[in-house]
Order: sequence, then structure tokens, then C-alpha cells
Amino acid sequence: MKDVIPVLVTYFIGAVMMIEFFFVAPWAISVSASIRSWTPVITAFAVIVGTVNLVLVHGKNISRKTVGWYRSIVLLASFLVTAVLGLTVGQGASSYMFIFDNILNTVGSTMFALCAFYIGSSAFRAFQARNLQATVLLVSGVLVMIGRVPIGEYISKHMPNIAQWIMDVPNTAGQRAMMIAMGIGFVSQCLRILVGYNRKHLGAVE
Amino acid sequence: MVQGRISLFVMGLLICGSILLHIQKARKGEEYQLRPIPALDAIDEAIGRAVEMGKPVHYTPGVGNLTTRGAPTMFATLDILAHIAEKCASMDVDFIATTGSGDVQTVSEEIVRNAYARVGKSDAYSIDKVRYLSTDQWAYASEIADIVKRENVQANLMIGYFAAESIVIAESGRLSGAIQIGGTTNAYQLPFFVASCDYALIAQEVLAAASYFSDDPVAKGSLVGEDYGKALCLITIVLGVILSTLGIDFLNQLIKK
Repeated sequence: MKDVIPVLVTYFIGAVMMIEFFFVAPWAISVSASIRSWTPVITAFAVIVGTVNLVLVHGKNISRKTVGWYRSIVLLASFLVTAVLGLTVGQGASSYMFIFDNILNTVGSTMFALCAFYIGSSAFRAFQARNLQATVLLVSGVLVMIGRVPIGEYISKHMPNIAQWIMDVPNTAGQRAMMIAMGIGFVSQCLRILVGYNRKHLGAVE
Repeated sequence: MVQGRISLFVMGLLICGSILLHIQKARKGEEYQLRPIPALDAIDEAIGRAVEMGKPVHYTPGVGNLTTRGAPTMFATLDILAHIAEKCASMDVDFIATTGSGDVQTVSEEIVRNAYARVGKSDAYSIDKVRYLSTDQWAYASEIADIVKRENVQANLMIGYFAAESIVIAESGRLSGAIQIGGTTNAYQLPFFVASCDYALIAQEVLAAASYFSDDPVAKGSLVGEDYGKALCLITIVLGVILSTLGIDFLNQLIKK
């Protein structure tokens, strides 16, 4: 019974969503809109579980003084200050927005900026012509890069067209092949969940 | 029916029919052979190396969730998580799973607890085996980079739904010297895993992992059914190319219905 009710609920919701997508059924549109509006509420409950885990794991780090335990103090203190401010003065308050604009956004942007350096180091390794495939990758990568910067047109007027052809034909063909295979994989995954064949997410031991 | 979705409905029915048919055949005892997937075979090798070194194994399914963002992929990663957790529990190696959304955390805790119980190691399970990091992708990525470095992770497994943070996580793992296996269904992030990881799972291979790891006839049968679906798409594409080249617009019009 523990598994049967969730499977029936999944089946019902899946059926409504499919009817809404494929058939002209106004009732299905309103029912599916209601169901979608429940998603943030259910997700919010799941976040509580995550938050409890976060506090327990970092509390354990502090109590056991594991390596870098002082960072857990910073995390828990930041969490507490942000939560208290959000719950008391509200999310639009200047003190709350100060944390968001000057700490969270700034630190996030710093991490994002690191991507440029990491892409550089990984591209350097990937572009080493060790075998035929890597050589094809190197040549096409260089052609696309040169074709997409102004100097490419100075080298040859055909460079931008060559770069565009690589992106439009072999690249798009490969991407679409992956998309088709993934789409069918997604259909299969969803079908197994809808009909109750896949129940691991319900805690079933298969 | 909604105009423009009739052909999609018919194709969907054929693909679903093929999947269900092959699941039934597999359940009746028909045996199917799967081609070897080196990246999935390498998971056991990576765990073995962590055992030899006496260092932890880290697994993350990415920043997706079970309701909207990359949901089918995230469901597939639950099978991978179960396999890795069970393997780590049976080989007595420290295991850390990290998640970036509340719903994945809830389900992952249950799956890892079950995996430890299955091999009779319930006592070895603790709350810090599955750690919730953050829904913010950069906070999530920086925390993983820290865990991999600080806890000296020897096997860094990243299979699931990733966005731009994939390169930060993968390069951090590479710099710390861990053996790395990455895989995602997000085509834009695949090049980063290919460049930074020792092994990479490409797109649908992530979804095939469930069938690969288990002897469950449902999983194996569905994979064969999917292959017939792919064959159907391939035939349609080839037919479309031939007919369009001959100037016949019949198939194009049919698909638009």
C-alpha cells in the first residue's frame, strides 16, 4: 500500500498532463495548471529536509573539529543571519538585499569567472592531437575559433563560412542525434515511472 | 486532438508500445545483451582505486531536480547512486554523495540508506553520507570543489544533470588528482566532461545506466524497446531525406499534422 497510492497518483497526474498536451480538453488545462501550482509548495517541503541535513552535517563538523571546521561556523552563521533577516524584515528589506547583492551575487560571479580559466586549461588538454579523433577536434576547433574572430576574415574571406558550416552541419547533426536518442530515453524513463515499473524514488528496494 | 501534435502522438504510441512489448518479452525470459559502456565499467575500477588508497568516493547527480529541471535524467541517476552506494558499502570505502536540490536529497538519503542495508552495513550509514549543498549552482560547485580537495577524494563521479558549473567541478577534481567519470544529458556541458574526465558518459548512456547495472528485465527490455524507437526515427529521417530530394512533400506534411 505504501507504494500503490504514490504510483496511482503519479499515473493520474501523468495521464492528465498527456491529455492536456495532445487533446483539446479545457478541464485538463485547469487541472494541470492546479497541479503545476502545487510543485513549488511540495518542493519547499523538500528544501526543509535539505536544510536540516545542512545544519546537521556542519554541526557535526564543528563538534568533531574535522578539517576546515571553522568554515562550517561561517556557513551556519551566514545561514542563520540570512534566515532571521528574511523572516523578520522581509526579503525586500535593504539589509536582506545587501547580503544578496554584495555577498551572494559577488561570490557567484567570482565562481562564474573561474570558468574562463578552467575552460582554457581543459581546452589545452583536449586540443592535443594524440589520435585521429583528437586531430579532427583540434582542426575543427581552430577553424571555428579563427572563423569567428575578425582576423579570420583577413586570412581568408571563406573562413567565416567554413566556421558556420562546421557549426550548422556536422555539429548540428551530432547534437540532433543526441537529442533524438535522449528524447526516446526520456520517454522510456517517464513511461516506467508512470506505469510503476520504476519505484526507486518511492523508497522501494528493487 | 491538438493540431500539429497528431504525428507526435502516433510516434509516441509506437515508441511506448515498443518499449512495453520488449519489457514484457524480457519478463517472460527473453535474454538481451547490452554493448559494453567503458565509462560505466570504469565506475567499479574508480571505486577499487579509492579502496586501495583508503580515500573517499564522491558522487554528485548535478543541479537538476525531480520535478522540472532535468527530471528524467535525475530519476535515472537514482539507479547510478544506488549502485555506487552499494558498491562502496560492500567494499568498506568512505562514500560521499552531494545534492543540489531538496527533493533529490530526500530521495537520495533513502536510496543510500537502503543500499547500506542491502549489504548488511546499516551501522556504517550516517547522515553525512548524503549532503545537501545548495540550490545555487555556484555555491554548489564551490562546496564540491572544497569537499574533493579537503577530504582527498580519489574517485570523483559526476553523472546527472549539470549546467555551467560542470567545468568548475570537473577541473577541481582533476587538479586534486582524482580519477574522474562524468556524464550528462546536457549537450552543452558534455565537452567539458570529455576534456576534464578520464571517462565520459555521452547523453543517453546516462539513462542506460539502470539497465547496465541491474539484471532487472524491465530495465533491459525498455532499453531494447528504445533502440527500436531510434530505428523508427532513423527510417523516418532517411525516408524524409529521399522524398524531399525527389521533391515529394508527403512526409513533411504528414509530420506537421
